[in-house]
Amino acid sequence: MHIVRDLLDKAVVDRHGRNMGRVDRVVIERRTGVPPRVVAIEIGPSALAGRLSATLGRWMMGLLHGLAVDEGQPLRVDVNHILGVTDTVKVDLAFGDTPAASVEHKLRGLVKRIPGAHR
Amino acid sequence: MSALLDLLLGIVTGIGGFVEVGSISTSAQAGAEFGFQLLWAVAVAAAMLALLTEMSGRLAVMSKRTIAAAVRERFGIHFQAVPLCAELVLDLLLLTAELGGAAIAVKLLTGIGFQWWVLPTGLLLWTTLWFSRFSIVEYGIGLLGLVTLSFVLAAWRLGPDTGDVARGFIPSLPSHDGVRYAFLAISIVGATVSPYLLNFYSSGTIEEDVTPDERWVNTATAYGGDVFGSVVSMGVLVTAAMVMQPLQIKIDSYEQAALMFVPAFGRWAVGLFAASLAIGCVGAALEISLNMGYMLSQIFGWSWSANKPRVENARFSCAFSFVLIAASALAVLGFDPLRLTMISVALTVVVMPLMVLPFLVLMNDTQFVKDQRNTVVGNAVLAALTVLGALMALVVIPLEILGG
Amino acid sequence: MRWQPLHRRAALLCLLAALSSSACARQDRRIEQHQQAFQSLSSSTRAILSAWLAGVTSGTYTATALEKTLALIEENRTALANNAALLVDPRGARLADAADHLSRLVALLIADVRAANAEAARNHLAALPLDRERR
Repeated sequence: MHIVRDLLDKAVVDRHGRNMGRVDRVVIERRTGVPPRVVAIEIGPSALAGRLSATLGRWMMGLLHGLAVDEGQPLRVDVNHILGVTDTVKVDLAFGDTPAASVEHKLRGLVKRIPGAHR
Repeated sequence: MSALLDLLLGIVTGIGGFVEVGSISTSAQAGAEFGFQLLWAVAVAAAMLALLTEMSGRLAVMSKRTIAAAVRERFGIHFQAVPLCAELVLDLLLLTAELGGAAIAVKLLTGIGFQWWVLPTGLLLWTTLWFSRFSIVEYGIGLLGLVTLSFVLAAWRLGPDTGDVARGFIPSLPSHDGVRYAFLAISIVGATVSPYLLNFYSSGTIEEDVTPDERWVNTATAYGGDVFGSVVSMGVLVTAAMVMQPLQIKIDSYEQAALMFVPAFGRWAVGLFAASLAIGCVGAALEISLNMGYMLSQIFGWSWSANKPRVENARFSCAFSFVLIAASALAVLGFDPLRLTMISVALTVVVMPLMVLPFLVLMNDTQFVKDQRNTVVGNAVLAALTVLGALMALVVIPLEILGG
Repeated sequence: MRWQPLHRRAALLCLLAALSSSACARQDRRIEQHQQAFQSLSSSTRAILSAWLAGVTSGTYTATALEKTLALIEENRTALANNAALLVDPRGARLADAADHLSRLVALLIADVRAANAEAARNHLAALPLDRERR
């Protein structure tokens, strides 16, 4: 597998096909004497910002902390939970049960109060 | 039958979003200052847009990804961060200009300052987006946008010499103010080939679940719709050329621009102009706002769809709502919409190479377009457009300073 | 071969002449741009008023359009007034006077339209400066 071409920045979907985000970072384990291996993918704005620059990553974590949605961020998904990689990366998780849904849930709390939000 | 209806609606709705504050401003100024001489620029811009629109649609049909999503996956976030930031700024400026344009249209009829109309207009737009499915937004804009055919009707009623009009399609050197001529030619391209149009079109293709068997509808809609829309822009230019140029009136405001309808429509002039301006601006504003939601959702992997309840895609819903609020706040400050428009179209040209270049890769990558890759001719034209885009990007800001 | 003092003086004079002529050309261009802007605004004023006098447009639109025209005239006047070099030039000074006159006339026309006084509007329109149609 070509990590950059086939994994990084790909859309991630949960076991029900629901969008979870994108592969914002790939976690690679390096040990002496063995080839490096992908151990996990990370999903979340702090992972993405951290990829662009360390400072940006810290600012993003600060922002998430300020909004009280930083718990469990970024979501780290072990490779053992990856069900398959095609046009998307399917993982054996449910979006709503993960920290990837923190911001969505928080905003949903705001949106549902607006008339017409459920139409 | 359904595909044919989709095609007809697609072509007709090509007007919606095509004729808006940018195309009205640039075409009107071009006509007022250079007569028919810049008709070729409108034709070239329409051809560029049609080509890129068809490619956006084809990409969406074959890969089930929009431009924004495909660029993220193929080029990564380090590349995408630059056009993303540029487009966020650009779309915000353009949306502010569209809101201002719509508000000025109401001012023309009421005499009350345009800033008072910004918030009601913004609220109307937000309500439309909040409560409507994609098809209502798309087709509603298009059908209402038919009122902009007034420009074509005005041009026809003024009876321009067909030979003179035909000569306008052949590029020629201006008899005066070459810098201004070049600036307007490039601005016409910038006003027509807006980045948001391409991603909006590909998002719409996915919203409507167009299948590979129906890709001929995509091709016909892209070319037919953009040709149809460009005819209206040409109508603006010809009308301005017939009315404003003989009077030596340079168009520096929409209030002046309304005069171009007087000889053709008499008492209906201001009302028709205001309606055309308002509906054109409202249509474009709806598309820009919705596209902001689409673009951010697609780049960051959020769920998105205008056809699902807003609460199910809260981040998408908040994204398009927030950009409308931000643009309304800016428009209320009273920036002159015409000046803001000219700045926006110049900035569009600056980012154009970043917009066109990814197509060269994506439309030849079988991972995305499968067996529907570009032909050799298509690639050659696209490469030429990329080079042209880069050249225009280099000169547009100096030209704006010298000739804007 | 070293340049003789005479050659150096000649070269310096040529350079000065080139710079001066470039500065003059820029000044001419600026004056021409201001002239065109004021003529355009004067023509707009005539067109807006003519449509109102013919009963084709409403007083509301006419006053709105004239107010915008006045704002544009003031903008151009300010740009002209802020350029001392242009004001010192006799052409620039004449243009500044004509623009001042135009500004006052447009203000009077706005008042005429608001008062629905077509007669006064016609009289003021006849005095419009910088108007190509009158030439």
